[in-house]
Amino acid sequence: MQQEKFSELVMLTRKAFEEICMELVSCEFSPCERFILEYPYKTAVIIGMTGSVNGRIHLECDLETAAKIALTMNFGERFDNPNDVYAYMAEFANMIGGRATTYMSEKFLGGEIRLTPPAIFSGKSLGILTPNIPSQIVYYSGNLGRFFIDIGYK
Amino acid sequence: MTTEISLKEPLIQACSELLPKFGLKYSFVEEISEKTLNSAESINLLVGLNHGIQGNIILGLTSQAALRIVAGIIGEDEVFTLDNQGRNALSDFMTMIARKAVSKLEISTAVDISPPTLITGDTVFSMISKIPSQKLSFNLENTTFSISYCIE
Repeated sequence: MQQEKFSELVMLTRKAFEEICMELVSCEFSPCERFILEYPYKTAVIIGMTGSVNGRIHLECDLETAAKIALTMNFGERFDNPNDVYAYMAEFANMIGGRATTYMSEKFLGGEIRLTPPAIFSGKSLGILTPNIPSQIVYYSGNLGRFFIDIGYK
Repeated sequence: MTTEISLKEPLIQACSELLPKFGLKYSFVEEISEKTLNSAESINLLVGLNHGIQGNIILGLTSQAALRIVAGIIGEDEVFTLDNQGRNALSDFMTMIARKAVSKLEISTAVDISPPTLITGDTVFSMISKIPSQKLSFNLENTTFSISYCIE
């Protein structure tokens, strides 16, 4: 993929992330310096993209930040089932992916872009990579915690 | 009218066509229904499906199974660490399994497969869908592997 188009796709994904965070959980996440998530349990959501854009978006934060986002999405009401946090994170990522593909379709007219269902992984020492896909990681910080997005397209 | 699509037989057939090519002896054990949130293996490969069908497939491997499959693919007797070459080999293997499996589905629309993502870690849990998934378990020589799938 041309560097220019790759950069454009990354920019549109970042724009989608920042907008959805503001609209959905009223949190302004700002780009920040690289960091290492300290809390041992991490939560990662992966959404694949196919069609005219082939790639994936990987969102990752610690479990505490995920719980805060889910709680905010649930209007502050505690969950009956603690695992609902993951379902909310899946929906959160799905909305970011949906917004990003809308922007990409508008920008690069021609060809449909499709999302695969979000898959969530949680655990200690998570390592996630997509071989042979160039990617860029963007680090974010906000009042709900810290996040990084690993955006990969080929 | 809707017809339920299962990936069970296509995935078992895909394994039967691919694993022996790499000199891997395996046997299918069972299929079980899982909850939405499940414990996963220490090495997992994920591909997403869309267009013809929507869903996810995860290949779950023990470290031993991952190294054995890599050795089979690259034609070595034994492999001791999962390096870049190994990760690429597993990624290609996952794509082959998924492509073969979906090609056996009797549906009129082509299915798109997302690039495989490798997920490693300790005490890993996964949720590949809001609805319960199915898990196919296999024996692989002295170890095991699994393929979980969900079609929404």
